[in-house]
Amino acid sequence: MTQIVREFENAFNSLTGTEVATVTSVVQLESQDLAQIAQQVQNLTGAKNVRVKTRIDPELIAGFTIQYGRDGSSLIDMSVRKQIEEITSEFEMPAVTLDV
Amino acid sequence: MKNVTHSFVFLAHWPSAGSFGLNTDILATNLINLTVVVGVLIYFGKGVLKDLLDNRKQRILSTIRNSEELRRGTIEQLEKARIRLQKVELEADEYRMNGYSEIEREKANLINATSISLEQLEKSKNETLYFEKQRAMNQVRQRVFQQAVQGALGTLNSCLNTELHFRTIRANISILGAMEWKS
Repeated sequence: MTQIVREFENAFNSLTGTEVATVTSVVQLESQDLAQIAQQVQNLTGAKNVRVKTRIDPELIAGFTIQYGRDGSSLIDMSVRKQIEEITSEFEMPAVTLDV
Repeated sequence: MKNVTHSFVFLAHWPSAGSFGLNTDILATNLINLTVVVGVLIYFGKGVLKDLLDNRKQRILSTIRNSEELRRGTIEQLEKARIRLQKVELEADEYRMNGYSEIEREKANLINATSISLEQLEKSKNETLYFEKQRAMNQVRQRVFQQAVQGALGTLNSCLNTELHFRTIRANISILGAMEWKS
């Protein structure tokens, strides 16, 4: 049943030109922030419509990530965790345990 | 026989005594005896003695000839030995000189090899020291950075509240809007 629903949803989105974006953040985002994110995704993808889903992940420390595209193949990572990891890699450091 | 006859005659003159007597002419008797003995020896031993002497002479001559031959052979061998000795001495001198040269060459090679080994060891030592120094510095640097990051994370976690989260999110949205994305 779940598979059927998913396939139906994909077909519907394809027919209606809708892009699904999953936004993951540490805290629940406000509607205006979600709207701005949806606007950015529409600009990126050129889709007629953008449907936003939200998830909560404290491990991001702060900020958010946007996953979109078919099967979530595209990712925009604006989290603090990623920035810290980038800084760590620049210093050729071993992986630092990020205790949130 | 004359002496024997003379003795019997002497006994005849003294029949009453009944024993041998002494001949007072000792010197004459001995001379006669000696003459007889020598005469017999000379007569019968002449041939034998001659043969013995001839054999002795031949053996002596043979020995002399052998000795002479041995002497000549020995002289030849001595001469050959002297020549060989001279040759061997020359070869020994040559070997000695070559040996000295070889020793000098081996010494130089050993010195060079030792110098090269010392240089390599010195280089290896320096490289090892440098590597250990770099490793220690890296470890210290990593440790310091790790502690700094942990400290920063601790501070961040303790300071972050809902307002700061929203401010961070909105700042990132602005950054996202300012980016020129190419899909």
